[in-house]
Amino acid sequence: MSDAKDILGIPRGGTASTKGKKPREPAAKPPKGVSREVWQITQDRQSALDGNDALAAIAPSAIALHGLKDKRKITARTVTWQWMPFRNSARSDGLQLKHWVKRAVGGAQPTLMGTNGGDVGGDYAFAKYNKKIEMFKYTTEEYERLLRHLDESWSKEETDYLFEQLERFDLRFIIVVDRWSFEGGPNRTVEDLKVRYYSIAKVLIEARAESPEEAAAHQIVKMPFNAQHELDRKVALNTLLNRTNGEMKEEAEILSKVKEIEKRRRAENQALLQKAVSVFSTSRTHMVQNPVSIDDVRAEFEQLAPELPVKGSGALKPGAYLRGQHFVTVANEQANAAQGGARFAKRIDQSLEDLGVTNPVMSTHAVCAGWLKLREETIELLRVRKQLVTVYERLLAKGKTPGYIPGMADVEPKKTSAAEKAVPVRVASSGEIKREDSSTLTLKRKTQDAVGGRVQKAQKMTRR
Amino acid sequence: MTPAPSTHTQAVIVGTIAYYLGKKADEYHSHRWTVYVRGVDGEDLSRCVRAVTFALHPSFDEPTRRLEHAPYEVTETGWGEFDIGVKIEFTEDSGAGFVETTTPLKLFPSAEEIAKHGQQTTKKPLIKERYEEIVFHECESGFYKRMKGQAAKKAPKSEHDAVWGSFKEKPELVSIYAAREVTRERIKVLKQQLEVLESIDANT
Repeated sequence: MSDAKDILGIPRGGTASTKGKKPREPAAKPPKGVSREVWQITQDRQSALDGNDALAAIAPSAIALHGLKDKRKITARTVTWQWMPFRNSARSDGLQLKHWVKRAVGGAQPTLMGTNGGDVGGDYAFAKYNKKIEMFKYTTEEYERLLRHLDESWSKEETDYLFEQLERFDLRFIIVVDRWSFEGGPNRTVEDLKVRYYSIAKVLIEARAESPEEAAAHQIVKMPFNAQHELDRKVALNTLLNRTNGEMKEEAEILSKVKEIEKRRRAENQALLQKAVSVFSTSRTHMVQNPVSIDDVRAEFEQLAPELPVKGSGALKPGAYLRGQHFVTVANEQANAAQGGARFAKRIDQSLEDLGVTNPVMSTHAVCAGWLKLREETIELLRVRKQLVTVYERLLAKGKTPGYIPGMADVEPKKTSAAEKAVPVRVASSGEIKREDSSTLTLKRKTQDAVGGRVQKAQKMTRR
Repeated sequence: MTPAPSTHTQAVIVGTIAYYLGKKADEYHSHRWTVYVRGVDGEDLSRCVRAVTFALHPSFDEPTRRLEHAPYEVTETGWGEFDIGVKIEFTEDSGAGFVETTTPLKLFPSAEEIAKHGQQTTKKPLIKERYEEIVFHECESGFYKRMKGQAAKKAPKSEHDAVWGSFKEKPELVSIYAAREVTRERIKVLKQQLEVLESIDANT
């Protein structure tokens, strides 16, 4: 209730309504633990039972009556207006005028800065906004020495006129060109005026500077006025401004089409990523349907490589070869030719292992040829992924977030079956971008290897 | 498979077989093992093989063992695994000389194998072998004719005849087939992705 009065600006207490009434008996204090509101309601009900129900709910309670007669103490400062003399430093005649100035009395600031009460030392408060631009000006001697032959199309008279006008209008070239009327001179554009002024300024800066470095540091010398750029800009703005409705419509259509294409592309990208997740899942090989005829597969594989692929340069010498061993050598050469380095060869091996393929056990022509081709395809896969990483990193450097790369860090949750445990799941093909998961997995693999091989290795060592 | 005229292919199996000695094992002799070169399905190799030489670990007595007659086997006891050198010399008329390779001696099953077949016993041998094909590239025509004309004899008996494994090409072909399918699928997806990223790259 009192809140509403505060809003309306009526003094607290609601004396009007209670005037003339007998002050009510002070209500009993609420017992401890009972909130004021709850207590008030129960009291009201009590009084309703007593007979004066309607009033009971509305009449301010004893608590609301508290401070009823208090008057708001006004401690605010008093503001007075005074008739004060002032001068305006922007004037040259030193004319003194008077105006009303707001002045505070009491605890307030003596003057209110920033208003017209803020005259500083008798000077007009707004005089500080009377800024004069700093222009470059030349003396007659300088003109004769430096500027006469700068641009023969300008006479000294016209240049004087230009500088006079520029000073008058604070270098506002648009206004100057608007008012330009130099008798006997040609028509001048804004660019003409700017070129003239800035080239003169540049010459003056360079001539007056104590060192070439000092001159070179000046804005006008560093970035000389480029009239052609200005003109181009205006032409571009003009064409933009002069588009017909049809052209604008066409443009809007193109833009909306671009948006549509981008939207579609995003959706495609999303679908692609989803596909990538399944394609790069570690158990993907189980999803491949078995070939219809193994004989077809064998025949196809035998086409992929000759009985004994050529190793190194030159034809094979007649003689006996162990096919499996020969293919392994050729495969190593292939890996070396692709990129070289033991690490790369290891990555190929790892990729094949992840796909459940070992070096040929049964070294028939078909198995060896298929295996060699698989390695070739794996090299291709690794190469494409490397390109992808390059582009990806370039995009990252540009501040884009191109999502993740499929097959880079897609570690499937570990399988629980015992058979799968023996061969730890790893990054599909050991990508460059490693996540925490993959490194912990590598660690696991290491410990597993250690368990398997340490005993025998240790024995071997002691035997020797 | 139609080998070029004058190219003869001879399948051989190279490997090791190891028995755990169980109670009889002592510190330096936990396994009894045999390294061998044999033909497929008991085929006699001596028609084209003159001798097989195994290079054992130098800690054995006479580490180089040359065998001129089948069965081409060396049996030893020991406790350590190592790679055994295998040199197969061919009959003079082949004009091919010899080939060399190695085969790992395996005595202890891997964790995977234990999970599959249970702990090592004295009865069940551990076999680690591989099927190789010796390709006589542009061999002497006399040799070629002899190989074609003469049916292979049965190899002399070996004490391991009962436990030799057999090789099946199909599962290996199928796994390579599946791996190739997956790899090609992955290449395709990556290329699409590359295209997308490159177009983003080009437009920014």
